[in-house]
Amino acid sequence: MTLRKYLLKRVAVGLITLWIVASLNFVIFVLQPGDPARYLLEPGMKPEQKAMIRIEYGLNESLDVKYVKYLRNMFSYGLIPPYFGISFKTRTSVASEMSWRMGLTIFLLGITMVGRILVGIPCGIFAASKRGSKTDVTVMGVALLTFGVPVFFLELLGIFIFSYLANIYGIRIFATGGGLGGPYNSMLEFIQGAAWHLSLPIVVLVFAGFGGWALYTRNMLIDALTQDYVVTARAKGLSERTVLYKHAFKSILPPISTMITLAIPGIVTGAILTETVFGLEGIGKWYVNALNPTTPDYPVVQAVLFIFATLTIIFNIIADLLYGVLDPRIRVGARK
Amino acid sequence: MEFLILEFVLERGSRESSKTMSGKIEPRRSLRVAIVSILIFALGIISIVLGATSMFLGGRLTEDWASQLWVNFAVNGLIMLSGVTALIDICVGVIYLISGYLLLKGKNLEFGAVLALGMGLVSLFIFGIGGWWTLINNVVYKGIGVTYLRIILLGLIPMISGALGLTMQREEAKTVMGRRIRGFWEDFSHNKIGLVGATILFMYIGAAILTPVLSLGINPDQTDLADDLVPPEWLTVFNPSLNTLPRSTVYTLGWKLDNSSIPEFISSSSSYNVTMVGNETIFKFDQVTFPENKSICIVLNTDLFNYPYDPPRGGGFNVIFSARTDPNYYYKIGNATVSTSRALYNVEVNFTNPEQTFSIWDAEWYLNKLSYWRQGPETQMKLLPIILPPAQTRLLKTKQTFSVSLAADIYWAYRMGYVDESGGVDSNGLARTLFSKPGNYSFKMYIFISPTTSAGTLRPVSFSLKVSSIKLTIRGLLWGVMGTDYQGQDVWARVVYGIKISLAIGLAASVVSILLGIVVGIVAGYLGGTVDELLMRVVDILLCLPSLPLLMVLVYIYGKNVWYIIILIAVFGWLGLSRVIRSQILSLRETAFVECASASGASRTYIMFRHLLPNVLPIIISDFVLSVPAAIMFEASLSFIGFGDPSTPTWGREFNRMWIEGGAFTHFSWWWILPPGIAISILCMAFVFLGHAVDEIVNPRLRRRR
Repeated sequence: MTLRKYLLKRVAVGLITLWIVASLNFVIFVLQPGDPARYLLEPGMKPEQKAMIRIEYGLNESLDVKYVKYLRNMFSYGLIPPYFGISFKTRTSVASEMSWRMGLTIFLLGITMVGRILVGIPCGIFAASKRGSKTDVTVMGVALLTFGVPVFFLELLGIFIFSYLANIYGIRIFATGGGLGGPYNSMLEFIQGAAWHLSLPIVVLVFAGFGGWALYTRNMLIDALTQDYVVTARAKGLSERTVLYKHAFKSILPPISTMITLAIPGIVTGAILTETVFGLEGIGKWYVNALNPTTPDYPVVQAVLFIFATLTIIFNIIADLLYGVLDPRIRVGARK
Repeated sequence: MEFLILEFVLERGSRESSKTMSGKIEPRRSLRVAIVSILIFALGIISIVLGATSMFLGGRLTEDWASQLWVNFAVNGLIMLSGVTALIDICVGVIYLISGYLLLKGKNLEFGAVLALGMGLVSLFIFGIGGWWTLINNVVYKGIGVTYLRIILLGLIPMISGALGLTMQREEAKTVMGRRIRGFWEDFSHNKIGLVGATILFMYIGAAILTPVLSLGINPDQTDLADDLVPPEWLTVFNPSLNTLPRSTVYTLGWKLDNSSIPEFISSSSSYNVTMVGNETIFKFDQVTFPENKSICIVLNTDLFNYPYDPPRGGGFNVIFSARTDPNYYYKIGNATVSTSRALYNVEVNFTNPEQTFSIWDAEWYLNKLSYWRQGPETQMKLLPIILPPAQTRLLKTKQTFSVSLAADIYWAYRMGYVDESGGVDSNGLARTLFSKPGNYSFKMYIFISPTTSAGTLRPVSFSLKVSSIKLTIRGLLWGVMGTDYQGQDVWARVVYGIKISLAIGLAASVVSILLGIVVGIVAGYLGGTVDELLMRVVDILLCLPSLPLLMVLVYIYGKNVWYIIILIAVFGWLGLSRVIRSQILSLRETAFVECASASGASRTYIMFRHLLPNVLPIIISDFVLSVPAAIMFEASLSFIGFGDPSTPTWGREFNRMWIEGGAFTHFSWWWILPPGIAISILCMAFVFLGHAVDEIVNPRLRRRR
């Protein structure tokens, strides 16, 4: 089918998925036992104030009205009032907090992804070029090792080691205090301090994640190096380096780029653990704090879930499209 | 492709020939068949009997009955799963009966053997998991015997017999299967990484089975085994100066009455009696008139005990002291009724270390009230009642009997310091002052009795005292294999118990998700059309959901239960596999042998599960091996954030405790931080290595160019 039809179909399916997710969200929270306003009301309120709060939050209306309002709220993405609802904790709109938290999360994870690719792919190439040798085994061993170690444990270990070094021996390499650091007076200070505090999370995340890229690149490259045209190139007398980069690696660029596009959806949801460990005020930590049993923050939870689902769907659609564009084998195959 | 067709023809051919041979078993095989079938039959009967006895006798048994061995097993079975085990036993027994019967009859040998094998596997699974669960949640080690008995009797033996039964069938099929397995093993054994992974995995499974042995019999939930956050004991090998640190000890000392302290007029009275019953000293006299209005002092001593270490950080005393005195004497003054007791009593307990003596308890009772004094003989340092606030001594009063359980926690006082006689505050801490030097220590108890007068005459006094031995608990500063956590629980035991739970959860979630993925993938791939569309839409929708956040919400709402978590992990885990299987099936669908099969009248289910499934088995195996560590890490992440089941001791929960509640990082307790992480890393790495090896075998593109 043509690209346009495919795109429309994907978008339609995506919208339906979003609607299902939003409805699921709604149903989950509506079915909860207990008075939904119990987190909003304070003990000393007069009955009129309680009634006002109920009206303001729309708790008195019937279920279908609530549902329609909820859908309208969610699908407006915080651009028109009620701006994704009002957070129970801070009594401001959810959308206003979400913007800067989202910025931090995307910044952190974007740099992580770029770092992983930039470290992982050269490692994979290096290992493939020396297949079977000790360097290959060591590089692949380290990569496989990082598969097995949970990311949050590496982060905890990182914090432990560097705080031990800093507190007992006075050697300060990375900041382990958590968060983005103390009050900053100027933009320059903020950039410096934030970079200093973000360095440990980024280093640990890159170290924990480069293994997948290295392994994948190595496997693809080994497969490519067994092809006939490589034999020809070598027979022609080309240097190993040219063979490796200009012929073999270029031939595996399509699958690698599809992997890159497939990794993008992971950016959004991958931050929950890291932000909890390092105390960074991003979307993940906000979400976890909103889900604590004594003072839950339902508008935040609903909004964040919806945003997660939206971003995942959008990135998946983009990945699907780019998949077709970047990998000519798929295009050719479809035409058959 | 040709290979597959050849196999297919061979299989069909062999089935034809074995059909004509059915019913005729060669003579040299009949002995084996008989043994196996009788074994399974007998096991079936045993199982039914076991189940029936649990069910019928369970409620009416008393402790005397339970001392008999087999009845003990039945009772323990009942205790463990309260009747469900009995039902399971009976069902399992019936199935074994059927399979044994089939084997005996000889008609459906293969079915019987497969039944026994399958039932053995299932009961292994059930009793293994069930046994692990009860061992975790009900740390009464009584039930362990019956669990292992069940696993061996009802799980392993039928499995082995069933497998043996299978080996007697279909030589051709056996060689084909044998060839496949042998080929796989040849490829596998050359892959060093895979072998390492497999060995580590077997070690973990062994550790999971032998958990009570491996954890050295320590209960992982028992607190205060040593002080909080103490390092492991083997550090003394590297740093011998740590040898002087105190270890967890309990000194139990009996009281000995100092006979010279008892005055003549009491010891010569007829009602005077001193006995030692068990670890209690009982001392009493009845209605003795004191000659003078002076108090007497009865002294009780303990033996010297040697404390060879540095001062500890915490510990406690415990002694139960109960006394019975005369009832009150009432008299009237005008309209008021005044009651006085016949004597005043004062009790003091002293603690002597090599340098000084301390008064650790000082109380008098008068008019049925216990109050605290501050003086006593032979004391140089007064320890104010801040170490023993009245809330910590439980006073049980029945008529004239006082029973005081005197328990004090030294650690608490360590935190507060204490005030000495001159009013200065010693911030060294109580424990450090009490246990200042290694040497000989002892306790002494003084009981003062002063008779009261009424109208000038001394009133006769009755007194009866029961004192239990004093127990001094020292919380050590070194402990065990891996030290303690912030509540004094043993870290090594917790990590070892975490193995089986984490393995169980990972395997269970993986198995469920694999099964779902296989079924959906094969059905969607083969049947095609609307079914395919529908299933793939569902997969697409579920794929777009963010798993961790959604899981957190669901756990938050529906409760933190480990079964929910397993099912939810499985629900999110089968999507990738089903897609891959479906694409493979799409290409296999057009092959010749599938066409042949459907042309010869095979049903669609038969084709799907008899022909297509074995060809996607390599993909399934490699995906299974990699999905187990994914499930384990997913559960660990969930528990780490705090959304796991708080009653299951998984490693993720350990991380949650150490990060949020424990203060492990501020105290740099590496012995708590590292073991769970290393355990989970090595387990997941073993799976990854295994998966890598299987991948290399299964994926033909990675094979070397010959």
